[in-house]
Amino acid sequence: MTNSREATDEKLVELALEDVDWFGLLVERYEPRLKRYILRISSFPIETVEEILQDVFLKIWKNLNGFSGSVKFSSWIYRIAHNETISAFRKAKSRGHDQQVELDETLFIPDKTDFVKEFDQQLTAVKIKKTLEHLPEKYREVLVLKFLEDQSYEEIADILRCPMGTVATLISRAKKKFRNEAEKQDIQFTS
Amino acid sequence: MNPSKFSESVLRKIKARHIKPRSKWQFIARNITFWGIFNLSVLLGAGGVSVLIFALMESDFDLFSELSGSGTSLLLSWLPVFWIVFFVSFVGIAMWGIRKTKKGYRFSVSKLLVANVLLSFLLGGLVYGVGGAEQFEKVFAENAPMYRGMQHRMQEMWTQSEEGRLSGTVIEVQGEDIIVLDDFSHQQWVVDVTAVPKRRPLEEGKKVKMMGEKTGEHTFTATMVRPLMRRKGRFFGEEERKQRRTPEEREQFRKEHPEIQEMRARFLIEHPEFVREAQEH
Repeated sequence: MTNSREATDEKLVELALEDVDWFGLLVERYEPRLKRYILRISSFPIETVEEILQDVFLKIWKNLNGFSGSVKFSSWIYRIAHNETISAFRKAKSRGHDQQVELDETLFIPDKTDFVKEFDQQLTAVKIKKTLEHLPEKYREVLVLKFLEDQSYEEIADILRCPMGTVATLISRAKKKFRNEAEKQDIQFTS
Repeated sequence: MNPSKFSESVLRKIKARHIKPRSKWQFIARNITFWGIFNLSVLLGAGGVSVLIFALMESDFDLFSELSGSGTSLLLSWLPVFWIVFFVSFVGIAMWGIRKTKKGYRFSVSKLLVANVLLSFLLGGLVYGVGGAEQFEKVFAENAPMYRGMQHRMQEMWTQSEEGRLSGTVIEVQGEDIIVLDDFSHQQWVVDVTAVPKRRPLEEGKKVKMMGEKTGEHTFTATMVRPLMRRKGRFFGEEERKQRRTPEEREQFRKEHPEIQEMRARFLIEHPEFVREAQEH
């Protein structure tokens, strides 16, 4: 099992298709990342996030033969998680159950330093979270993927199923919106 | 719930519900279907472009300013609107199809649109070049209930004698100045073609359209005569050849239609300058 933990995602997919128990390793590998991602883009209560996550992994299992290796496995499952979350979000909204909760600020601490460079080194996770909450869904999700989930342009294109040029445009617009929103909320940038 | 418990719970659900991964063939079939939709749509769009080129080539836009009637309605009757809508629809379907394929989302919409339109025009031009446009159009005219066909449209547009437009089959050529035309409602006309500049010799059986003036119940003075369809496509060309008659058939026709001779005689009485000119020659 030690070796299998070091196996690539693609290898684990192959093994899982032969024996479902191997799928457990993929679930363990991606559960924390996907849970954090769903929380970041939805602000759903943790119980709802876990339900969505269960559905995400069941969907991944059902569609495992659809993974062909033309995209990274992580992008492929992020895409499924993204679609399930957006769908749950819209369903909840249409039923008037779109209750959102205050999230732990640590979820909004970016890993990448260039994000910090771009948006003021003093901008704290609290401020990022506060600003992101006020952005439209499409800008929020692209900023979360780029700067909080540390995904490349190509990976984001594969997750959102859009051309790379569109991703670049979205990120650029999202950054502008982010700055404007931060200014509106009196969050200062250093020059 | 710690990660291992979570994964156990997922595995338990999979096993309890006997959930199996969908077959690989379903994904392959889906991808092939969308590629098929894309390819078929490009081909149909190209077919549409070929008919569009054909229709535009036959549209006589140079005569547009000389026609009477309201600009918009004339333009609408002139433009092959059906084929424009047809082409645009299949460009849309092709775009939808390719974006549903496995990697289709990677193409930018604008580049895809340009490539799709260029490909359709390239293939459409080829189809038109080899004469496939008429075939394609004919299939539609025969099978699409809402579509009346280009020949019908041309005939309708050019069967408005009051507006100075006439079309039909030449059934008699009398000297260089007079022809007898059988229009598409099978009404015969004696047409004076002396005012037509640079006219080519007219042959019996030829389908023509003309502009000019209605001068009597069955008489018309033409100022322009053109083949009904510029390009002798397979269908129109064959029809014309069939209608070209042997001298015996012509004689038979004259016997069967004495009214044409009467109309010609009436025409000559009304236009004595023809008789004088004929005698001078």
